[in-house]
Amino acid sequence: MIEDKNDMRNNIRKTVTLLILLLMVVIPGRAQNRIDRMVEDYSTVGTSSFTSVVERDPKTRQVKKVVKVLTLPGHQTSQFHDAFLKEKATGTFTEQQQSGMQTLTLTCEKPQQVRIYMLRRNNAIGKITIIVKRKNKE
Amino acid sequence: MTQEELRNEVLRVRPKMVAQAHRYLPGMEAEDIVQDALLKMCLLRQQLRAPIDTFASVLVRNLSLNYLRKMQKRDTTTDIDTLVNELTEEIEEAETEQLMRIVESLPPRQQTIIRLHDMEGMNYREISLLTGMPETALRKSVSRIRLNIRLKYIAAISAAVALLIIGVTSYRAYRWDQFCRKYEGSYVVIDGQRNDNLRQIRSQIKETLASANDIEASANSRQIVDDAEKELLNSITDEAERSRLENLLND
Repeated sequence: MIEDKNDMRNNIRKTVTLLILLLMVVIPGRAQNRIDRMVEDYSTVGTSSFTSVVERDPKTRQVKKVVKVLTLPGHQTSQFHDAFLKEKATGTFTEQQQSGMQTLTLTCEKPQQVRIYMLRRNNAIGKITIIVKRKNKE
Repeated sequence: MTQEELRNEVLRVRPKMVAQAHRYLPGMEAEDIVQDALLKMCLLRQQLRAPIDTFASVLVRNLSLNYLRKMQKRDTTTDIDTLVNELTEEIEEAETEQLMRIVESLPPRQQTIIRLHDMEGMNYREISLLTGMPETALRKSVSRIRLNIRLKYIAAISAAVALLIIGVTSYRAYRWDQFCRKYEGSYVVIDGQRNDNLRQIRSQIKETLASANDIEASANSRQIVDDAEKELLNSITDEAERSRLENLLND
């Protein structure tokens, strides 16, 4: 009976540890990809235009850079603005306001890549740019 | 005509040639024309027959007139006109070179006839005297040679144009292949309609990359400023001063 309880405790401990580990891995990834996911979702919406450019090494075909640009009406950009503010802790964040144009930039460094997110918007139009650049091996 | 015969003939007609050249051109230029004429006569020695007075006279006249035409062109042109003329001359020279190559590929007798008639400006009677061919036969011969040259010239130009077209087409195909390899997988969605055709979205790809480069450059410069600020703050040991400066920078 006591052995059963101990086994159960061990199992719960293992499960909890596993869950914590899993969350540790997943949460940063989720945070980084919030803007990416929103861009993917909005790319198919009727009033938007979306461009995805993959730049490769012509010899090896290895991807060097991915640039995604989503353009949509200004009033639809508030959710992106919120997403940028929620993600600002994950990298270097700046916000500028110039001639009625608001620019938010977030740069996230990862061991193998750099991700630059930029939101430029005014009342009429909003443009979200995501640049994923592979770091050169040193 | 032997070399000795030519030497004697030249000694005899040279003063006449100089006098004739002076009627067209002054001083040294006239002398140059006579030298050119004598050189041509040496080259054509084997086809020449004494007396060479007529041939020498025609040669000096043609060379002098050609020289005058060339000088006149140079004197009356403005800067842009000069460039255009120089370019035209270069094209003409290239064409002449091509024609000369064709002439050189002709049998020796045909070469001599066409050189004397079309290049030296001699008439059929003069050529007939030099070569011993009847004038009627010469007329037919010149016509045939001209046709032959024209056909060869057209063939050479066509080959060059075909080569150019093949070259340009191959280069464009190579460039397009490289473009496809480089941007394979790119696409555009407008109003929910996806377009993967690289040929159609080429301009959007270029625009997107140009704007991405600007953003990267701006992000990099910001990063440099941030790093410099951090370095500055870290170098300050006084806690209060560091905090004051940090607030100042953040403002």
